[in-house]
Amino acid sequence: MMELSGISPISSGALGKSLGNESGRAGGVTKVTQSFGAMLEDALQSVANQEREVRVMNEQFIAGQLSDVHNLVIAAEKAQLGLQLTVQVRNKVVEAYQEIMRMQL
Amino acid sequence: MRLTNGFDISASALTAQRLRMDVIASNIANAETTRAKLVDGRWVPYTRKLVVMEPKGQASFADILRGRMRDGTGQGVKATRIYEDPAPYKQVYNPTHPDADENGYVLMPNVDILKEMVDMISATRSYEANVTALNASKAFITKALEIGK
Repeated sequence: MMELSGISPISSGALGKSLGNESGRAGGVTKVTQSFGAMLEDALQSVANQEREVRVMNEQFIAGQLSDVHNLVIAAEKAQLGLQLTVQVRNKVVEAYQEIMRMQL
Repeated sequence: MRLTNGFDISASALTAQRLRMDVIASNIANAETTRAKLVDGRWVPYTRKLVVMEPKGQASFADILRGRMRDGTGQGVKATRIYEDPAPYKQVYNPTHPDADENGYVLMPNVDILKEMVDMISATRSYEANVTALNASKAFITKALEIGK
């Protein structure tokens, strides 16, 4: 989780720069990529929060303080889905970045 | 969170059904309880308890507004109250019982084990149905992640 959150500034920054300098619509693209970077960072933050929530609930469950087991499992499912979604989006971004890097100038 | 809205709805139903199950368990456990509370020096038997359920998000203005902003899909269910069954207590002839009256009759709880068993099956099935709904919501999201693979 902690390592992943470092990715968004790099990818958005690199994308913004590489696209922004060449393209005619520099301002628009930079703005788009930057807001995308912020969105990705938000997503990663919320995934990290979900994981933290699951950890807290897990500890409660082990200590026998949790009355509803399904809430723990659902929180775990949510965190897993959030992570899968984030990874999927990240894969797409990295793919796009690599595609641009392969472009012949 | 909008994405996992279906999860929260199903989770609220699971919590409500668990409460219902707890209440049924209490009814069955107290099916023979003659001393639930003391009224005017006489013991009153246990009264059967039932759960009242209500759609979530009807409590305050903010809740209703939030409900409308979510296209009115609702936010799940909430158990608002546990009420006591107004049915009369059963009278059983048992003169040896310490709580028998002068005619030898004992007031027994208005719990019918058969009814409780049926309610229990209903609660179990309802819980299962909600787990299935939750799994379907999850399958939707998982399937959506496969788009473009």
